[in-house]
Amino acid sequence: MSENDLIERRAKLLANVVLTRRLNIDVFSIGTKDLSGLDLLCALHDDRVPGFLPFGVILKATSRPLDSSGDAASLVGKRTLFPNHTILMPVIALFFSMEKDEAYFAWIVEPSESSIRLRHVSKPEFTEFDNRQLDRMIKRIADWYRLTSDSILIEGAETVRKNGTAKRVPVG
Amino acid sequence: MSMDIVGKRGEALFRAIITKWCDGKQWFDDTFKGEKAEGLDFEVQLIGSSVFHANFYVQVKATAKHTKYAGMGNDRRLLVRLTRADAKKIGNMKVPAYVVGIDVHSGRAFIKHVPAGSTSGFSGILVRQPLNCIAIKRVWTEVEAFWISRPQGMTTSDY
Repeated sequence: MSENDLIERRAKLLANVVLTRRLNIDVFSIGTKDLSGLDLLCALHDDRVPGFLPFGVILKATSRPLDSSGDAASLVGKRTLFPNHTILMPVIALFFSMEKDEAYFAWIVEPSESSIRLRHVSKPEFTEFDNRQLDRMIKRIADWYRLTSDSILIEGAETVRKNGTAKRVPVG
Repeated sequence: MSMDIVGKRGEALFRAIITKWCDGKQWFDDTFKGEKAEGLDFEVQLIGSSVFHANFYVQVKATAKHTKYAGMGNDRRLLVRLTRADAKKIGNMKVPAYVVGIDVHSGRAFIKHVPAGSTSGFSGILVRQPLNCIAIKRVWTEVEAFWISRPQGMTTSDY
C-alpha cells in the first residue's frame, strides 16, 4: 500500500473519530466517490429534530504539518473540493495532517441560519475542528433540518416532532 | 446513547491510534477481523518489518460507562475486562496478542499484553501504559523480535 493510500485511509479513520466525539453522529463510508463526490455520509441524531438527518463529508489529508487554518486553506486552495454536481444537503470538508492529527473544517454546502437555503461555497474558509466547532456544526445542521421539515413536510412536521416518524401528507 | 455508536467510536479510535504517525511515518496497518475471529477484533501488521507479514492480534475493549477508572497513582486502571475464556483462547494461539482498552469520551487508549499460555483474565489496564508513540515503537520492536526469533515453522508434512 502506498503512502498516499495509507493517508487516504487514515483520514477516514480520523474523520470518524472527530465526528463521533459527542456520540450523536453515525458515519458511513461511501463505496464509490465518483457518483456522489463525497467520501463519507453521516447521519446526525438530535432530540429536537427526530429522524435521519444526513450530511456529506469531503476529506483531504496531507503528511505535512499544519500549523494554522491558513496552512489548510492554502494547501486545499490548489485542489478542487466542490463536487461537480448539486448536492441538496449540508456538506463539510475536513482536512487532516498525519503529523499531529490536526483537523480543520470548512463548509462546502452551507445551510442558511434563517432559511431552508443551501449555499454552495466556492472558497471554503477553514477553521480548527475542535469541540466548539463540532457543536456549532451540529447546531447549524439540526436547525436547518428543523426549518426544512417545517417547510416541506407541511402538516407532517408536527407528526415528525411528536413521534419521530413522518406521516404521508398529500401535497398540491 | 446508542451502544452501536460507542462500539463504532471505540473501533475508530483504536484504528486511528494504532495507525498514528510517529517520527514522520506510520508503523502499523490494521485489518478488522470482527466476529469471525472469536474475540480477536483486529489483526495488525508491522509496516517495514524484515519478516513477511509480521503481525499481532488485538482485542479492543471500549467503555463509555460513568465509572471508567479505579485505583490511585501507579495502580490507576481503566476498567475493561478480559474474560478467562478469552484469555485462554488468546494465550493458546502463541502469537503476539494485546488487549487495548479505550475511554470513548476522552479518546485515550491503554495497552496490555496477553502472554502465551495465559489462563486468567483481568478487569483493568493500568493508565501508565498508554498507547502512544512510545508504546507504538516498543510494540513494533518486540513483535518484530518475536517473528525474527520464531521457530522455522512446519518443516515436514505427509503431503
